[in-house]
Amino acid sequence: MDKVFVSVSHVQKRYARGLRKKVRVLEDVSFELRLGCVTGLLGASGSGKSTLARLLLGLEKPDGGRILIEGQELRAWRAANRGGMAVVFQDYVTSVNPVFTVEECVAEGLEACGKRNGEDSPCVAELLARVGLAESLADRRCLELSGGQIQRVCLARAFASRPRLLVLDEALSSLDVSLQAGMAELLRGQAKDMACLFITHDIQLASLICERILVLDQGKITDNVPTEALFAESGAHLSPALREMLDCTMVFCSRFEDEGHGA
Amino acid sequence: MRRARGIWRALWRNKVGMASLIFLCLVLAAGLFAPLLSAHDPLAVDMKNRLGPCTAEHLLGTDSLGRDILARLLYGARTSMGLALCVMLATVGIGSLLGLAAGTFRGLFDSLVMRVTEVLMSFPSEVLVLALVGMAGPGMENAFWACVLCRWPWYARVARSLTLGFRDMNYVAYARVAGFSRTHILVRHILPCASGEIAVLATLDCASVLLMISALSFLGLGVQPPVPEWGTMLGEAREVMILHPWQMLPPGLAILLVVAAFNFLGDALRDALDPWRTLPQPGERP
Repeated sequence: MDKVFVSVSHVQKRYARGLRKKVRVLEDVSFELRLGCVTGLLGASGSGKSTLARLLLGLEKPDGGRILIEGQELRAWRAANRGGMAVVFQDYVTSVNPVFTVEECVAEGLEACGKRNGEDSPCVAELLARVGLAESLADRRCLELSGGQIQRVCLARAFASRPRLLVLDEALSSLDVSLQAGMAELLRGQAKDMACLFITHDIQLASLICERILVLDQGKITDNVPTEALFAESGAHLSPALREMLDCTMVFCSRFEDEGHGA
Repeated sequence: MRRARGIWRALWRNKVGMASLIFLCLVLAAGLFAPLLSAHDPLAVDMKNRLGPCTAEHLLGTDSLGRDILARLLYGARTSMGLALCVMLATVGIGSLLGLAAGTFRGLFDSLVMRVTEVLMSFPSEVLVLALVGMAGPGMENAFWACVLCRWPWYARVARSLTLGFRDMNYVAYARVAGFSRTHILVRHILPCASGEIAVLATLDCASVLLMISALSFLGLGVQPPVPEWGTMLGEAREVMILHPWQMLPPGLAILLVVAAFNFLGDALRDALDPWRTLPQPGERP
């Protein structure tokens, strides 16, 4: 339960801008992900969240530092564990193949772990039901659906392979609040034997779903705290970036309570 | 299946495209069934009946050697269209295969293929074809290989750039993350999306290949007489152009109509095959 599953140590990433100039996106980022634990990654736009996700998925190589999964190099682990990693992106339009139907799309997740006809694997209809989509959608083209529906198709595809490392990059951002809550519950139910990195800029959603919170600010990890620490009386141990996020949320909450909705 | 139905429906809506498709099928069928449609031998010389007028026996008259023009036109459809389609098949096959592989595997192979295409594309292709056929000697086979050699670089480059474009799509990123091999991703995700664009390009290019083959034959470098071919017929008609100008009409019109039909069909296909545009139109869904 408490074993380190993914360890990211001293990772750096630079992007070339022009011939000589390089922009540092990530500087010396280190953290760990554990099985059975949803870790939230918070940060303002442009703080390097999505870059970190792409590195963690092996879509890009870091310029420095290493990423180990169960003690193995990332790419070696991925090759040995087909379907062991899954991802849901924020941009849903390019997340589904335009010629695929919903069923083909979700079936790809099943195929990833070689469970196409396995007995213990859930069927496509069951996976769709889990994310609150009707079975009748199965033979519709993915692009005919609405944004929130496509995003849930992507979630179903990600869950289909029973990944051990799941990266959700703003994956719930185009869902309405009640669906977000539903997906949060689903995620917590699934999280028992996987490590999940939940990337968002919504601190309330993160505090609902995650057990640990990482804050990325200008390419550096400024906080790595359990979620309860956010609600502690004194915020002295929190970074300025995180405290600012919390303060802004407090403004909303106090307004909500002033109007008489509070408990 | 669903996708095929959608494409067909989109094509059906485009009247000009549909008419072009039917016309091209008719021309192909006419070429295939030429012996049934014409009682005359396209090679039979009849010097007593040279440059004859349109009669019930010879619907389009006879040429300078007394051969039936209609029969030559029908048999010529075999040669012209058949050769053009073979050139396109070979070109698209070689070009897109190399392009897709270059875009997928990158590295040394990619640079090698791209440098070769750059060399080939730095010459005007008409001049290159003429030079190649001139060197290898006139003939159908040489014309075929010259056309293929000069055209595949375009398909390789288009296929490669399509592949690179699709590589950045999130569904390809998902497939990579899930651990699918690059070949699997190429076949499952990139080929179905790229094939539409390549098909459109190929259809439009059929027209220019047909023109190229006819031009080569007209110049005496392609199909050799007495084999009936539209360009050869045009070349033979040119010799008597001053006194009998209508001899140019049948092969000339045949080339014009087929080239136009290929162009219209290409435009219609572009609209029909666009994966983002084949969504059902409002009110169409039952």
